[in-house]
Amino acid sequence: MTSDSEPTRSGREPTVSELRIARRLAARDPEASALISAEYGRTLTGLLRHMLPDEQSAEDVLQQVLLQAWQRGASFDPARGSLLTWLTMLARSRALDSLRRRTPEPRDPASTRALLDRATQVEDHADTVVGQWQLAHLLSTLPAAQADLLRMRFQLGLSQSEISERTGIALGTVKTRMVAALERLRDLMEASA
Amino acid sequence: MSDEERTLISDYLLAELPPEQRREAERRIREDPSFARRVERLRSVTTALTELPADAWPEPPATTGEEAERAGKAERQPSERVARPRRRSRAPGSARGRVMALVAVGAACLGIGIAVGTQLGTSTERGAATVTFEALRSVDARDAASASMSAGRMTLTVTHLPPLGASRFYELWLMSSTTKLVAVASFRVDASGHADLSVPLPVPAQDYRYLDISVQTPSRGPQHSGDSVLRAATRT
Repeated sequence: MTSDSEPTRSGREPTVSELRIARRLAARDPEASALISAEYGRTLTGLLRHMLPDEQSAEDVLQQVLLQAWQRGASFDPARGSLLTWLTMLARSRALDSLRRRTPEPRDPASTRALLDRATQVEDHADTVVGQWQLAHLLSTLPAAQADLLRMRFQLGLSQSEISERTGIALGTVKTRMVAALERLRDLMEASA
Repeated sequence: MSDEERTLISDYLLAELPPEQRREAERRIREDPSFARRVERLRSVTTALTELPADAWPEPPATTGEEAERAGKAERQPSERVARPRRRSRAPGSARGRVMALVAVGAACLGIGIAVGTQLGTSTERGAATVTFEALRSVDARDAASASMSAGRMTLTVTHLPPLGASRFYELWLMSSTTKLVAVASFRVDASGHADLSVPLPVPAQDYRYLDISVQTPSRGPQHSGDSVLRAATRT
């Protein structure tokens, strides 16, 4: 996956990929689902697996999301928001619907309160998961070298000195590239917010 | 903003500044609103990355030629027996050793009860408590080891670590940083690089960010040698 166009500081610039998918959605082109699946499938699958209790539920809801994206695609306007945000919010809604269907009806006020508390917790968790997988998608659009640098630092917990030792890249260069990767990711996050 | 300032902010947020420079950065944050804003903008990224689930990270790229060459230098030792996991007594030596000794003593004082029921957070709840280690250096295989944690125990399966000979051994750690870490078990591998351990966890695994396997030399004391060969994120 690649980011085809730089986000600007004055406003979000849709990527070429987004525009291509948006055109196909607007035309109700069946190919749009395949493009979405190829570009955003990993992100949506990961998000749903973290929101739902089992793989089968995640797979079922993913199919609902892809279908709904195709059905509602004409309403997506890339100038108003990113396709990533639109799709992940669609997935969030369908996942919450799926979770609500599993919750039995309340029988007394105490259980109603407990269910409301539980619902709030579930929605908060959903927001966290959506944010994490939006970030995961943005990471996947970084150049591989930048993404790997961030992975070594934040997933494996290596210090910049350890990264330098592991990769054979001078420490000063590691630091310069780390700054560039973090700032690039920050710009992508702010552009997609 | 100069390159020096950008690197200063990055190093500050990565907690890699020496104490004096860190204090200077904190002073600037207090006194320079513009600098503070720049720090906060980048902090949002480092915070989000720190909290990212392990499976959300993109797949690592293929091993580079340079790394493959380093891996090719991994030492090969004659066959040796498998040692059972054990808890070594640790005399404090360095500051880091003293921290580890305190952690070990604290865990011992709290007793086994603290470990019972320890689980790996949400990944266990979703039935995916197995984590796979990644090679840091001097190891020529991916998926060299995996670990699973439940009910206060950790099961470690090692498949591809080089035997070390009699003078060194491997140590499994739970760690968040070079100052927050606790030793879990010592072990050796057999001639084929294989070892299986099942050990009680001295502390809750979810309180630590990483599992780390280091090469240790007894004569250099109980503290972490700094020679890590495998590491895995505990949080998925």
